[in-house]
Amino acid sequence: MNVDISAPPWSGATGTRPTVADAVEDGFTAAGHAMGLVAMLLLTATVVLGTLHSGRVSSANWPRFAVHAVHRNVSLLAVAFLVVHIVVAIGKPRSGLSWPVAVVPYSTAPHPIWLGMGTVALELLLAAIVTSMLRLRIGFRSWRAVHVVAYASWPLALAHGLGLGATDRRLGWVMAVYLGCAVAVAAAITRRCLTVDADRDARRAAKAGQR
Amino acid sequence: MDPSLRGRTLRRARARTLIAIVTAASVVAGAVLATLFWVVLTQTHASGMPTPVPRRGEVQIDDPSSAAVGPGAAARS
Repeated sequence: MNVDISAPPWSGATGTRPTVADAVEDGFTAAGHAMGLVAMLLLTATVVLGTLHSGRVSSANWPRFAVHAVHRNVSLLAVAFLVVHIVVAIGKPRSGLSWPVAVVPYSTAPHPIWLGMGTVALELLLAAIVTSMLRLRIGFRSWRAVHVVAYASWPLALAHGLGLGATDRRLGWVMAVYLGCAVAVAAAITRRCLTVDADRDARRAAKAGQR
Repeated sequence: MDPSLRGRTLRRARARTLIAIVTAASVVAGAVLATLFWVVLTQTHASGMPTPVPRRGEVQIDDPSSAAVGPGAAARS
């Protein structure tokens, strides 16, 4: 008996049953997406903590400097996960991506828009970190301007994740992670907009006095 | 030392400890979540563990679409 088996329905996109190379590629893909998801969670925590800090949220156990310190540490951790995410994505076999993708937005053939959003988000984050390190040198206004613009990295990262993760989008728990991030950031921004900090009038009076 | 100053110093020291604990917890939580996500996503993306590629002419008895499986298989093949 000689039965020809051509493209069985359980085979993958390549038309063959999974090989070791396919398994390695799938492992890289999953690792890249996992790191991206964790980076998204940490970036959300960074944005929420930064928004709370700018709203002068504090308590007896959590003074403002503690909120700021956690905001800074979590943002550095988010960048660490982002770097691993990028290294895994580019290092993945047959990824079709090269290193310039990590620094030059919209420079790649597959998915230029979604990948470019991720690149811009990374660069905004790095700009926020570098300007925070040079805050005393560049002045408060410049630092604040860059920091405010850097908040755009969050929606860009969200769009990057939703736009590229076609497979992940079908998973309910992944969408729940993204939804949870969106709700957390929306709640923090709403709180920030509705809260009038206690020393606002004093700061405005001091500013007016400087002029 | 002034009691209020002492209290403030203690609160600052406690806050610093909390910062260290929360930062360490974030690192651990990030690593655990990344591993968990990786395990789940590997199963989603992958078609499973690597299995040998069938040679041409080899019958796959676990493949219901195979012509050599089911009633009348002999007649079809």
